[in-house]
Amino acid sequence: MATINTLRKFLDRKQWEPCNYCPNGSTSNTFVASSKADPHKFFPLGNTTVAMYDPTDDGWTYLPNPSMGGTFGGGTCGGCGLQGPAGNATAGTTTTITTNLNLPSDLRGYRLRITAGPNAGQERTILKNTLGANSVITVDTPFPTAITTASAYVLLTGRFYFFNGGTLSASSFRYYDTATNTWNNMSVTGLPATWGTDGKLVVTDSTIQYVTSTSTGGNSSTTIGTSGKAWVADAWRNFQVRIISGTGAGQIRTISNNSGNTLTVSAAWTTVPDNTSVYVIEGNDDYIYLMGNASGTMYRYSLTAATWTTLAPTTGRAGAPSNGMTANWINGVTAADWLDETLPQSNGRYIYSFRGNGSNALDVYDIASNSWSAPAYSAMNEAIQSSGGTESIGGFLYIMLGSSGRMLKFNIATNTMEPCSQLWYSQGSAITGDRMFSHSYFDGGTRIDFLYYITASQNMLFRMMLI
Amino acid sequence: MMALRNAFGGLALQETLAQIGVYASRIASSLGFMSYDTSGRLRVILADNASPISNMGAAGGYNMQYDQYGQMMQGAMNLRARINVS
Repeated sequence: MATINTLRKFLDRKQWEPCNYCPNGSTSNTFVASSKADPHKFFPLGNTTVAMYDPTDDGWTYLPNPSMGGTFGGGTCGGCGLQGPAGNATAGTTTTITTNLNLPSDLRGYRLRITAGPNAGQERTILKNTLGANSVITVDTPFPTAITTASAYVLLTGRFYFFNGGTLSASSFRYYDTATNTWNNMSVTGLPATWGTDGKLVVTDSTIQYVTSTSTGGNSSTTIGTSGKAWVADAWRNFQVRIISGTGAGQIRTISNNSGNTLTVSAAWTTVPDNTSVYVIEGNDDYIYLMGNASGTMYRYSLTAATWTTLAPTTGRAGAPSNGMTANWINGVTAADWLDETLPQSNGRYIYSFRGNGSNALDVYDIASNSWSAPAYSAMNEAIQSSGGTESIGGFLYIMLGSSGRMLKFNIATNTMEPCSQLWYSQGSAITGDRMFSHSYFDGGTRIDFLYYITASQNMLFRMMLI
Repeated sequence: MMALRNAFGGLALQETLAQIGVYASRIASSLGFMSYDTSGRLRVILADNASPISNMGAAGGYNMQYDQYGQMMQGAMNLRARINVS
């Protein structure tokens, strides 16, 4: 199959088109959480209701009742991550993994990753799986050797993380697991007793690899490196390094610092990599960032430790965010200097956050240096409104300016704010909440991106192809 | 219309009422939406607040929103026609 896109900028104008409308209208603080790795888009409507949209079929359904604690309102937020259930196989062959999972649905098309034991580092696409307890998963391509009980796996089937506002309780932070169709509590220990105003949850997952390299050896129990590299010192701090083949394959570690050609990891290797070890540097699957609550303080959750850390940045946020704040992890800039691993402006390193509250101030969090900056940019005389949303895709931040339907486009590589199209449909009353998301069509090397938007105080869903 | 004829009794009057209906239809088509109510009377609907999909007030009424809906679809379909999948 081949797809030939003959659309051209200027000759062709962007055009919003109606999709099937949501089963419920948007209200204050409703938002959409999505991941570029999972087709499902999640639209929470309250403590007991989450609608789910599938762009492939342009259809809606509801998740099981999330039974959230806290109050759906100011501060409520969420995000999506790549990882699903993990565990050790209870049996296996070169094409099957017997699990202790109770899988109620078919997961064909999703990926899985072997993280330890025989076939560590290998990834496969799920061909089929048995339903119910002790599900047996069959993969599309045989592993080099048979899966054994020493083989650890993680299903890359995705989660929706749902963080509620109000007085925090044991069920204020929960995740929906796509594979098992279940809700599970996450810790709120270490967070403020109450959470409000506005909030944003940012997940940094391993969807995109920024560096792929073979080690030249000479590694210690806490290092891996490749001679000849010329990285900026500590540019990869807080990213993760994952060995995908060779000695030590399957191991994942958080990078604590780096020199020009060597990464130092936060925990010693179980198996020290050598000159056969191929590794990737990518977004850290372990971290989730939380900001808002009318404060410049930011928190980071570790999935493996199940704990929150209050970050102590070397330079704090210049101003507290408020209603209408945004937060987008930047990982899709295609400008050459953002793809050059020897330069500091790397994809995966920054969270861009407009401060909201009617201002156009932009704050940028540098994950590698744990510091905030408020970079000057070609700001227009525009306030980032509390009703609309932002989406990071293709090197741009697309911004819906409230219920007017007018849009802006922030060019990340050039640091400029530009006008961008308009949704002509007449929306309802302005309400807080990021209701913009994206989905992409892939066919070989052809990629076509679509922006989606749920209108304010209505249930209309529109999409716009990006030209 | 049968109910109206029975009430007023005469064919000529019915023809007059029918003519009024034609005029009402022309006026209604330029303003909004025309329908018979449950008593058989002509009604002009300028805005239908029962619609779940729109904020009619700002855009000028029921029909205008649906026209806009179709126009947006048409524009998107024109773009889609420029993408060839083989």
